[in-house]
Amino acid sequence: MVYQWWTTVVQAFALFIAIYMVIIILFYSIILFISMLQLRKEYKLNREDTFEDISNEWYTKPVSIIVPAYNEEAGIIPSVRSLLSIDYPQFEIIVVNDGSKDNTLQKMLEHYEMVKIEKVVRKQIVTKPIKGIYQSKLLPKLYLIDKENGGKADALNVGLNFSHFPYICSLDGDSVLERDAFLKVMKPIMDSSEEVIASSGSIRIANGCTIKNGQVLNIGLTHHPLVIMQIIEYLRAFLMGRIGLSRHNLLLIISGAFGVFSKKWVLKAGGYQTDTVGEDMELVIRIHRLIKESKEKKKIVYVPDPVCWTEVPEEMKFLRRQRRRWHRGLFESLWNHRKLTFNPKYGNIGLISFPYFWIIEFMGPVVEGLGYVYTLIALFFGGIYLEFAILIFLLSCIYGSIFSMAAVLLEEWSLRKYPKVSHIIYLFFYSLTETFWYRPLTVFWRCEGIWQLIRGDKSWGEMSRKGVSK
Amino acid sequence: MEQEIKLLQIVSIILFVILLCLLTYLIIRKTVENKQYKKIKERKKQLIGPVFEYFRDGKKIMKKINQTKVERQAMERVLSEFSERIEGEEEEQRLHELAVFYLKDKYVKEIKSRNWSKRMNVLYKIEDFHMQEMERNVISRLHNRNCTSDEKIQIYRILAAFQYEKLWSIINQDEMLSEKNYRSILLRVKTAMFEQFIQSFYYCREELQLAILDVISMKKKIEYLVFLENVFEKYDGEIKLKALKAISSIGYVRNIEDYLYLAKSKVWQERMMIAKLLGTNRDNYIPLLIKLLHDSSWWVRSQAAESIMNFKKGRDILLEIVKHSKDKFAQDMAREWLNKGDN
Repeated sequence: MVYQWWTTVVQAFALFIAIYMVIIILFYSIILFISMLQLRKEYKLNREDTFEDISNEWYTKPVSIIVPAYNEEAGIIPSVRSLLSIDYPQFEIIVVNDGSKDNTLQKMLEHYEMVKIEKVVRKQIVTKPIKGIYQSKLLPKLYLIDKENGGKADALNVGLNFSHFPYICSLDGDSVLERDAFLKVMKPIMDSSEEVIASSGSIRIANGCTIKNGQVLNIGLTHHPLVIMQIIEYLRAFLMGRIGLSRHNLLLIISGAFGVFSKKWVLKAGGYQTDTVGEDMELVIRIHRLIKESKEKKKIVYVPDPVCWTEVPEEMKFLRRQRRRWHRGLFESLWNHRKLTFNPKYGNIGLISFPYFWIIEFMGPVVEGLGYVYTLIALFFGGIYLEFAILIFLLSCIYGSIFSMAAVLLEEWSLRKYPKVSHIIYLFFYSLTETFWYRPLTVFWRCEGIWQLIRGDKSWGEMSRKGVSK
Repeated sequence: MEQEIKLLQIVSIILFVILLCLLTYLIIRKTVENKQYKKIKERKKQLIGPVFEYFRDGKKIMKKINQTKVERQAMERVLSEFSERIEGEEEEQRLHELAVFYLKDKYVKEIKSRNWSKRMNVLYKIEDFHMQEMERNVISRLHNRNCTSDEKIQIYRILAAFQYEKLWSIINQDEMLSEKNYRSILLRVKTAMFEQFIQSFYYCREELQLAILDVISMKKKIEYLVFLENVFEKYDGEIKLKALKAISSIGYVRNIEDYLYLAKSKVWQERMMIAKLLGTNRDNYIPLLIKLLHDSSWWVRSQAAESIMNFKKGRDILLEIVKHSKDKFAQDMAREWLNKGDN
């Protein structure tokens, strides 16, 4: 009797996992299909030609670039240098020193000969107090704001208060932009006569590339397994996920590493929220809400092209912290706006985006974790369960690889950043191994994130940019 | 369970085969593409010399080139690079000759391609190489049912660059076009044709009217001052504002007294424009500018400060404000413009 009771449970469990898998596969297949259509349409379009017109455009919208910096003495100078050389008619750079404990401030002051200026900043959003405002004597469009520590979101808000231009871009202190990235990311905003109010671009991984003076000289692939897996992950996330979602205005994430927003809308939304670890996603959701609530026809888009190169963690320790934090940020954003879930008033955002993020992105690791547990249990049962488990495992390995390779294909259709045939073969073999080590790891870390949530842990981990929460 | 396992097995095998196909496709694709890219690059290197000589002294090179796909692509790229650099009518004429000789057949075919991006690329090239010979093909593409809006806009730009005589009537009819689209079309139009647009200003769609005013203010065409002042007088709302903007960018009016009332306008843009106009006038309106420096709008303050700096005693006036004004924002703006002078 007892044996039979167990078999039913195990079978039901297997069925549940199988159904979940089918749903995920279907969803991703649809998204993949949409992305393919989109990229295929623009296949081999000579993009330089289409940008010519904007760069000559007298009316190009000026952008304020905000760079929050906390203990970035190592990277801040090259990073600002790369920004200074971007190809855009009018912009200003606002570095916000968020109470760094190292020499970030001194380095900037010396290197760019910055002098203190007197300036009244209109406080449109409440922030931690500003200690001083500096302007470079060499380059008048470069500003530095020194403020008390208050976290990344607070630093961004200070930059927002100070900025002079109608569009703002938040940029991490450790990323490098391609020279024409701004022209490309601003194109949809200008083309749509401001119907598009936020736009973001592709983020690629800089580890393994040669970067000098803020320019990417040579694109390579590292031999670091963790980094290669992240490259595959980024390709999938950006080329498959975001193009598909953006096509139907379902985008809930504009990466904090590189995105442009209309300042008017950010201010309307109340700026960045300081008590969450996922301030970038939170802001996008809030803007979506505002759009729907004010019934305006505005859009948030993703452009596959503009490339921002960023460094990703090479060590388990840091990757683990990053993933736990991301997962908590995801939850906080969804939970704060839980009202939208399945709410027809919010259109597709409520009916598709939110359920997708809850069920697939947030609950995914839990179900996947259970799947791994199931495989382990099946090992003990042996026989037919083992066969079933192995098949499921194999299947998930193959479909994972198919999606990874499809993402590589999309990359080949659009940006073609990886020049060698060997790169493709590398990416293929690594993607085959994903299910055996990388996937379980990230699943575990994300589940840990959920556990931290339950325990009420709010830390940022090592790279702590969070000050005292309100 | 047996059956499910069988099904799973089949699905796994199918997916695995798909995966292998995908991989093979990717590898073959990359190899072929890399090879072709290399070939084109090499051929390009060989072509640059002769093409350059042709530009310099018109020496014929045409015989030396076979009409293959790689050749044509290499030629296309070489010509594109030259087209960005060359100036002067003779050189442009030669560029145009080469493009017609080597690429026209290709373009005639590709402009009808089913592939959207191919068509777009051709349209951009037609403009770059001034291929007026293609005008007929371009127009027939415009009347095709499948012509997308991006294509249409580019076609209008081409026709504008070719000074196509019926341009006004076709673009004025197209209700899909925005102000920005019109602007980019009008920027390619020469004076004689622009005159046509001015004359039919009254019959233009509002978007087109705004674009016309914009182009005047971008190019600072002083010959249209009377026209602008008329528009400013007769129209309302955005058009009035745009006309004022154009007037202030020209920086000169026949009688400034007619505009002084704008300093008290409720619309900040109008106050900003008057601040700008006053900057190019005689200095007896400085007190009014100082008043505008204490405006509630950042833009008006900034413009007022800039205008004050235009005058000889501007620095002293701003210094005075930094020292004695009670308005923090005015002080701040004055300081900012004083600092700007240092850089």
